[in-house]
Amino acid sequence: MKISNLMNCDFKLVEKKKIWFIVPACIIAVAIVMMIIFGCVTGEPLNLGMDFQGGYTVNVKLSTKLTSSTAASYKSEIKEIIEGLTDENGNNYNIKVSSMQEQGSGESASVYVRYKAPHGISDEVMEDEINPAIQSALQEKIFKIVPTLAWTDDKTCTVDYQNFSLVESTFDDIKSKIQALAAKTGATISSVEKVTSDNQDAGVKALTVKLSANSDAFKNALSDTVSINDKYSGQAVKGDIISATVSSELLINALLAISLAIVLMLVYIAFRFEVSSGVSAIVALLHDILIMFSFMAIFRVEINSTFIAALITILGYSINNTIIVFDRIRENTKSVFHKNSTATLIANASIKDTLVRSINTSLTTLITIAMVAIMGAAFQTFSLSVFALPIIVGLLAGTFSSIFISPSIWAMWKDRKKKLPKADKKEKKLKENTTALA
Amino acid sequence: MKKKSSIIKLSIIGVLTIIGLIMSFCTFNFGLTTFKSFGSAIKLGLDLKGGVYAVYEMDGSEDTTNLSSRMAGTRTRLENMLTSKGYTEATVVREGSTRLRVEVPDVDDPGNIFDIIGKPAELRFVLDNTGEIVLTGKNVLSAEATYDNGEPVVALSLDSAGTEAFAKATSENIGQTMSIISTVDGDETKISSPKINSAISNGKAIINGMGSIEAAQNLADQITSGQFEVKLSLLESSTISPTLGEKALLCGIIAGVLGLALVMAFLIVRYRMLGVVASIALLLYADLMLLFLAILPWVQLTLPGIAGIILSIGMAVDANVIIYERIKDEFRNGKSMLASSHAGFKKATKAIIDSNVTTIIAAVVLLIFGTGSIQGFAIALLVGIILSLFTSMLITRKLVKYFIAVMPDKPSYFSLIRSKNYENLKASESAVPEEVEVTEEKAPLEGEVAHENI
Repeated sequence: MKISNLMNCDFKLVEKKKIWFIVPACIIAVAIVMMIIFGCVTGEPLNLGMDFQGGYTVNVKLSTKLTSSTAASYKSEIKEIIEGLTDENGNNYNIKVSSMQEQGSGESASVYVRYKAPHGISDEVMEDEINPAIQSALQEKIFKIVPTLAWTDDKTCTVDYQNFSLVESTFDDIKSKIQALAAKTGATISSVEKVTSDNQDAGVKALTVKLSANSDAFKNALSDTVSINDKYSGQAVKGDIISATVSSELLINALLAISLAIVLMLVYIAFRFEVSSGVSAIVALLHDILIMFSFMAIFRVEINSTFIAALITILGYSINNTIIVFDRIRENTKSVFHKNSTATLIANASIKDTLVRSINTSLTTLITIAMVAIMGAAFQTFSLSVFALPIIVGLLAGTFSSIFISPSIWAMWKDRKKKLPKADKKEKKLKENTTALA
Repeated sequence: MKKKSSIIKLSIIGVLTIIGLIMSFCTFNFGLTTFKSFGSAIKLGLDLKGGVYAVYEMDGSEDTTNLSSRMAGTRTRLENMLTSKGYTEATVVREGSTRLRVEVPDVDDPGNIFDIIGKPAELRFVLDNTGEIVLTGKNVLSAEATYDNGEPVVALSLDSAGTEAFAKATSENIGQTMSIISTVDGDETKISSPKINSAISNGKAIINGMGSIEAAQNLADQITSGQFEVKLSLLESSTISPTLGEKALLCGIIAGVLGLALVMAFLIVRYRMLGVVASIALLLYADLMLLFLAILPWVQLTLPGIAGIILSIGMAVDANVIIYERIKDEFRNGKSMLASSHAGFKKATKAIIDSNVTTIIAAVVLLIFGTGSIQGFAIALLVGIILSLFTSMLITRKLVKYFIAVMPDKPSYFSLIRSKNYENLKASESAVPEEVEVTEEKAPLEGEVAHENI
C-alpha cells in the first residue's frame, strides 16, 4: 500500500510547521475578506437562513385532497411563482423559499410556505408591496386553470383540461360562455360537446367546439373564455412575518453550553495529559470550527440551526482525533527510545505512528457522512446535502489539524523552554563580546 | 482457547446479531399483539416525519403595552414547558405580532398537549379563617409534578415576595387550614385544604391531594401556563408534513445502510478477518443503537441526531482501527497472534478511553445545559458513545480472541505481517530455536496479565 511507502520516508512535519499554519490562515483570511465584501455590498456577511433570521409565511389553502403526486406538482408550482416574482420593471425580487409543508388534510388541506425576505428589503416594503404581490400572483396562477387548445382544422377545436374534470354545472357554464363569445365576435357555433373517455369515473376532462363560421377575434379570445378562474376554489392567505426558529436566547444558551463543554474538556485533557496538550487540542478545535465558518462564508452556504449540530459533531470528532495523537506522544515521551530527543522529534514519531489510523478512521467517517450528502443530491433533498457539507469540511479540517497543527503547537510549547536557555546564552555571549570590545 | 468452544461462541454472537437485525427492521404480528421493529418504533422529529401544529392567538381583550417583550417571554415559557414534557424537538415561533405557532413532532395525542396550553390555571392560596389571599400564580417561579413521601404532589418554588408572604402567613396561622384554589376557564376548584403545621420560610410550597402523578403533571402545566405574560387561545391546530420534505427520511435510511455497508467493506479489505470482527461489532452496535433510540422516552430523532449517530459510528470504527493497528504493530515486532491481540488491546485502551471520555463530557454538558434540539443531539451522541465503547472494548475483544482460536496459525488472514527485520532475525537465529520459543511462551503470559488488568 502507498501508506506503507509513506511510512518509510523521512518525517519532518513539525519542522515545516510554517507551511501548515499558512494554509488555514489563508483560508480564514479569504473568508474574512469575503465576509467584509458581502457585508458592505448586501449587508449580510454570512448567509443566514430563516432559522436565525425569521422571514415570512403564506398559507395556500386548497379544497381538494392532496395526493402525493398533486402535492408535489403544487409545491413546485408554488415555489416557481414565489421565486420567480418580479417587480413592475421585470427585475426578479430574489425571494428564497425555505420550506414547504403540507398542513392539515381533507377539506382543510393547505401548503404552508416559509420564505426569506430578499437582501436589503425592509419589513414595510415586504408588508406593503411584496407579500400582496405574492398573494395575487398565487391567486392568479395557482387557482387559474388554462386548458390547452388544439385546432384540428379551422372549424374544430379541442379544449383539453388535462387532469381537471368538469362537473355538469361548470360544463354548462363554459358552454354558454363560448356561445356568448361567438355572438360577440361574429363566429357561429354548430356544437359544443363533451369528450368522454373510456374510463367513466375519470369524468369530462375535455370538450370539442365545432364551428360553422370562425373569426380571428373568436380564436384569440377563446383561451381566456374557457379558462377557469377557481381551480380548486382555493385561497392564498397573505404572507405574515414569522420570527426566527432559533431565538437569541436559545442561541446564547447553546453557545454557553458549547463553551462550558470546551473548558471542561480542556480541564480533563490537562489532567490526563499535560496543560500544553490541552491547549494545543483546543487550538486545533478552534481551527476546525473557524475553517467550517470560513467554508460557509466563502461559498455562501445558508447557515441554519442544523449548522449548530454540525459544529458540535466536529467538536467531538476533532477532540477525539487529536487525543489519539497525544496519547502516542504521551507514550513515546515515556519510552526509552526517546529519552533524550526533543519534543519535535517525539511529535514527528507520534504522527508517523498514528498516521495509518488517522487516514483509515477519517476515510470511514467520511464515507458515512459523504453518503448523506450524495443521497441528498440524488433524491433532490438538498437540505440534507447542505447539512452534510460543513461536516465533511470539518472532518477534513479535523484530520488536518490533528496531524499538522496540534502536535506542532505542542512541540513549539515544549521546545520553547529548552530553547530559552540557548537564547540566553547567545545574549550573554553578545553582551560579553560587547563588553570585551569596550 | 479451544477451537470448538470458540466456534460455538462465535455462532451464538452471529445468531444474536442476525436476530437483532431482524428485530430492528421487521414488524411481526403475534395474534392480537404486534411487535414493532426497533426502527419503526423510533420517534422522529419534525424535519423527518412532521407532526402536529397549533397556532395560538392573544386574547383580544389584552392590553398591548410591551407586547413584544411579553410575547417573547411567553414564547420562552412555552418552549421550556414543552421541553420539560419531553418534546425537546418542538419549536415555537412568533407569527405576525399576536400569534405563536407551535410545532410538535410525532405525538400520540395531539389534543392533549394543545389543550393544556389553551387552559391556563390561575392559582390562589387562601387562608380559610380570614379569607386573605396569601399567594397567587404570579408568585410562582416554577411548578413541577413530583412525589412527596410516595404521594404525587405539585412542588412550587416561589419568588422572594411570595416566599416572604408565605412565611408570614404560615408562621402566624399555625393550626389553621389554607385552601389551594385553581380557576380554569372560570371554573373554580378547591384542590386541597392542608393544615398548617409549621412555618415554611424556604420558598417551597407543596400542593397535595392530587390523586395521581398525571393529575399532578396536568396541574403543574396549567399553573405554568397561568403564568404566561400573554393569555393565549387556540386558533387552529392540525397535522403537518416534514420540513425537509417526504423524501428526507428514506434518503437518510438509504445513506445510513449504504454508508455502513461501505465502511464494513473497507474494513474487511483493509483488515481481513479483523475487519469481519469489526463488521459484526458494528452490526451489533447498530442493533443496540436502534433499540435504545426506540425505548428511550426523550429521543426524537432528527437530522442533527443522525449527525450524532454518525459521529458515534465514526468513533466505534475508530476504536477498532486503533486496536487493529496496535495489534499489527505488536505482531510485526515478533509477538504471537494471541499475545499481539492482548497487548494491542491493552495499549489501545488508554487512548480509546481518553478520547471517548472527552466526548462524553461534551455530551453530558450539552444534555444538562443545552436546550431544545441540542439536548436531543446530546442524548443520541451519549447513547452512541457508550454503546460504541461497549462494542469495541468488550465485543471486539472477545470476537478477536475466538477468531484467533479458530484460525491460530493463519496470521495472513488477519492481515498480520512480520517486519523484515524480524524475519531476518528469525532466519539468522534458526540455528538457535530456543530463543524464539521463549518469546512465544512468554508472550501469552504477558498477554494474560494484560487481559486481567483491563
